Amino acid sequence: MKIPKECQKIKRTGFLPLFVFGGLFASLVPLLNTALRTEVFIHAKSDPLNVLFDANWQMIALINVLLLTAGACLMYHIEYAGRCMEKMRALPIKESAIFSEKCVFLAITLLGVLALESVSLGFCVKHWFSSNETTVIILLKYLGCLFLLMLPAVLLALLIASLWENMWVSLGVGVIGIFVATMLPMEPSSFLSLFPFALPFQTPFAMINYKTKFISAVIIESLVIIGAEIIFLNVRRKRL
Amino acid sequence: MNMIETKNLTKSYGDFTAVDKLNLHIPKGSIYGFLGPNGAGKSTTMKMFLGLIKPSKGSFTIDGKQYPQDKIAILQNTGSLIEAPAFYGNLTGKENLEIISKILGLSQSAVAEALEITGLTPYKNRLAKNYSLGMKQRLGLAGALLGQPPLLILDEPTNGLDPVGIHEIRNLIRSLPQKFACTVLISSHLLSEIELTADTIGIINHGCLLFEGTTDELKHTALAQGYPTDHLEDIFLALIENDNEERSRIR
Amino acid sequence: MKFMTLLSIELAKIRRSKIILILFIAVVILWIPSVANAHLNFKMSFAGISPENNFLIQGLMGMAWFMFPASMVVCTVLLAETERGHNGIIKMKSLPINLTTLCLAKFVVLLLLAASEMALTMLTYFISASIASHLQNYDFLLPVSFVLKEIFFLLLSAIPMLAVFWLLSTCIQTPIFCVGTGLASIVPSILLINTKIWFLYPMAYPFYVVATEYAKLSTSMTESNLNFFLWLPIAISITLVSLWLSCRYFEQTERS
Repeated sequence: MKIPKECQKIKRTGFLPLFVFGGLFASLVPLLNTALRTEVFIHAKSDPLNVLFDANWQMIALINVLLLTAGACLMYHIEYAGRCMEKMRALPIKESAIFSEKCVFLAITLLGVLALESVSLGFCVKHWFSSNETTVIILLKYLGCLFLLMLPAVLLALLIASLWENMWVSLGVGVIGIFVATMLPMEPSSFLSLFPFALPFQTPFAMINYKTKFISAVIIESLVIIGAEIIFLNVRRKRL
Repeated sequence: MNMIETKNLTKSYGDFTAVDKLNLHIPKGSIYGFLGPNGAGKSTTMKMFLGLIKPSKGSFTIDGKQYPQDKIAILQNTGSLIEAPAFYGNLTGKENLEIISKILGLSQSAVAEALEITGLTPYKNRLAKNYSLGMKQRLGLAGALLGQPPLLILDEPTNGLDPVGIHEIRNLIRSLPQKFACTVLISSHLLSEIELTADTIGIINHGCLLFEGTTDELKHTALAQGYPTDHLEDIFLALIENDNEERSRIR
Repeated sequence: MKFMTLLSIELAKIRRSKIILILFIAVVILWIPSVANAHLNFKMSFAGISPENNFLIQGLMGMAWFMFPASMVVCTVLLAETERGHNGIIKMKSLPINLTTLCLAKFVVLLLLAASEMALTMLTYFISASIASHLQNYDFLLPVSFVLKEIFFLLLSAIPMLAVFWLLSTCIQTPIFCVGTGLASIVPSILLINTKIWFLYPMAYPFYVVATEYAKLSTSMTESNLNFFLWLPIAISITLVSLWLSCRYFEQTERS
């Protein structure tokens, strides 16, 4: 019953169309890239998906992170702009519950976007590489990896969005966060690659090769961000 | 001499007609009470006078000036408060008024005067977003009164005010035509509100003008049509009810 | 109503918006890695670029590729939301103002914000180059006139992009679509600067200009001069058409 409530709130805000268009836009990247550079790609001596991820994922991930930051800002903007948050505070619902509902909703929406992108990558493999090794199971496994890597970014974007009532401030801070991520070293071995906004730029191969490192980073970061949100909400409530 | 005259003024949104062939006559130097239930078309009409909405059909003149040709000249001489007060939340009350005053080319003293008239002087340096509902309404009113314009368009100006505030603002509006020689168009859904301030009344329902005239003329009309005439409130309700019934019969 | 008065009003409206602070944080973050990795500038000899030139250009590339366009999208949100927040725009439209002038005044505010960000970039460059010089025992500081020229050119090349962002914010009423489209439009610029049709995509201009400067300053790269003959008329047309359209959209006072 709880998820549809968030779904209702974002009606007519352009949230879902943006994610659909954003997802389609990101899915176009590997299609166009492979269509234009077919020869280079199919002669690469590596697993087709590996080639495609190396060639496209940085750009796709950037679109994804931008989408989730804009989406998170909007989800809180609709609460603050019409002073709905004040109404919510007067209802028997915890603010932390609102945060978690938003997290679940944003994560599910992004899962949809990631699924679209995976389909596009799968299509590229089937169409241009004619590889039999890439199966739906593998694609689903990779999708799971990408989703996991995305979670701390979802939480952080929503934490930032909840901190400021003015959308441009949260968007500005989110954009700075993404900028920091684009400047950090992306090698999976690097500690800095664990920055929440940098994690979505990692490929499933990096995740599989450094499984323990990334999974523990995702869990620890998620817990820290959730903890930070709870502390922030408590402090704000006391200051009201 | 009329300050505002409309001729078959109409506003439609698709197949919904918000204002239907409205013919208003607002005398110069008077207070005109524009009365109607919520959603009757009062705000839409007022927005058309301010050029915030384009009329679908018909025309209107304000002080002999035609819309849309003389839009800027009309706005130069009109102070307005439409629906909820509009302001910049990140600015103080005084700063908000300074913006309007700069646009109207007024002196600094006009801002102080408007703040004083509306009782906002003690709160002038507070951010507008932190104002109470009543203070926001007063700020909107101060913005309308800036520079003592010859025409004031006030959409439910006492919304959100406490009884003392309502009394104060009502007295202020009442005194405006004498003080500043201006015409006031004031809307409300409460007849008791209008009864105490307005010289002329216009009653609107579903976008159509049901009555226009003085309170005495309203009583005469009510008597002629067999409506209760003890209280003006009852006349107003009877007029609206009767109109609603007729509409449902036609449908 | 004089344009300058309207501009001063528009500037007053963004008081207490914290936007300069956000822009400042963005530029500080831009230069921190440059200072921390200042030693890497000495390893760029293979590209034939001097360490001090590399220090400046790498920073400007980071700025032009993402941070500058993205922060300008944020600024358009600020300008739009300031008006929409408490219906300020309704009051504005009921005052005797020419809406085209108002729209242009707002665009000039956007230009001034872009210029402020560039000024902050320059200021923080000199501070970070001084720190890097001290740390590496090498003079990274370039002449003020040279830095000013580079930054001014970057700002100038961004005007068509700013006009397009302004158009997006006036014609798209739903804030998320406006933000999303603006931010997403930045991403393809990295691909487009390597194509022959880069000049058709205003979001790629600042990055292309800095990349061209990089090529100019390095001996190993083929110097690619900007083809003003084709670029200039297209850039001017994009700017004018975008501004004209944004004024038309802004004037549409009709509200649903």
